Amino acid sequence: MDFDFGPIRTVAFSPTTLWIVWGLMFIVWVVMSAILLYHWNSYSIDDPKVRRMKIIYFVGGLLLFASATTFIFSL
Amino acid sequence: MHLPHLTKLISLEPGETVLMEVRRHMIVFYARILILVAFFFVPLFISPLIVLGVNKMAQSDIGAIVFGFLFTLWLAVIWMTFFYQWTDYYLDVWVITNKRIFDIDQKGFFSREISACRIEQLQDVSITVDGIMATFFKYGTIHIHTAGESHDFLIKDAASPMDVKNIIMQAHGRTIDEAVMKTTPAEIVH
Repeated sequence: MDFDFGPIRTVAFSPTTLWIVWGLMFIVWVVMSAILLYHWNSYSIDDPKVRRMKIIYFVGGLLLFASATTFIFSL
Repeated sequence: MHLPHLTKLISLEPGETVLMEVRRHMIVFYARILILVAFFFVPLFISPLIVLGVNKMAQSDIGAIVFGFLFTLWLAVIWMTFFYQWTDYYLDVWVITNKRIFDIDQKGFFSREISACRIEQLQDVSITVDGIMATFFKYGTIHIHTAGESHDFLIKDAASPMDVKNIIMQAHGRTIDEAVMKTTPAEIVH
C-alpha cells in the first residue's frame, strides 16, 4: 500500500516530543483518577463492586502508561 | 438489607430500612460502551495511513512505533471514558426503603440531585415496557405518582420493573396497615 501525501514537512519525532505528549496525558490521567477516586470514596464507601472497579482502573491505567513508555524507549 | 455505602448519600430515619437499590438495566450502560468500542477500532482502520504518514514526516521507519505509542494513549483515553461512564451509571440510583423512595440523580461529575417522597404519599405505580429491547432484556420505566406537592418519580430503564413495583406496593401496603393499626377505636367512631 502506498499513499501520496504530497509535499510534506519533516517532523522530528524525538523521544523528547513523545515524553511531552506522555507527560500531558499522564497529568490528565492523574486528574481524572483523583476525580473518580473522590466519587468512589465519597459515595460508594465499602462497596465491593466499586473496590473491584478501582483495582481494575488503576492496574489497567498503569499498564497502558507502562506500555506507552516502552514505545518511547524503543524509538 | 445492609447497604453501608448509601449512608453517605441519604440519611435514614429511625426504624427505616433499605428494601431495594434500583439502577438502570446494564444494557443501558452497554449501549453507551458500544460507542467506545467503535472508537477503539477507528485508529486500527487508519493505521496504515498513520504509519506511512509518520514515516514520511520523520523520513525514517519509526511510523509503527509512533503509532503504537499514540494508540496506547488513545486506549488510555477510552479507558478513562469507560470508567467515567460506569461511575455516572453506578451513582445514578433509586433507593426504596420501608418509609421513602429516594432518587439520586448523578449528572456528570459535579452535579447531583437527591429527591425523596414518602411511601404513604404514593397514589399509583405504573410500569412501561416499550420496545423489543426492553421486552427482551426485561427493563422498563416505573412511574410513581405521588399526592401533594412532591413531584412524580420516574425510574427510567429499571431492571425487573415488575419486581420493583411489587416491592413498592408491598411497602405502601404495610405503611397503610400500620397507619390503620395506630388509629384508635375512638378515632374510627368519629
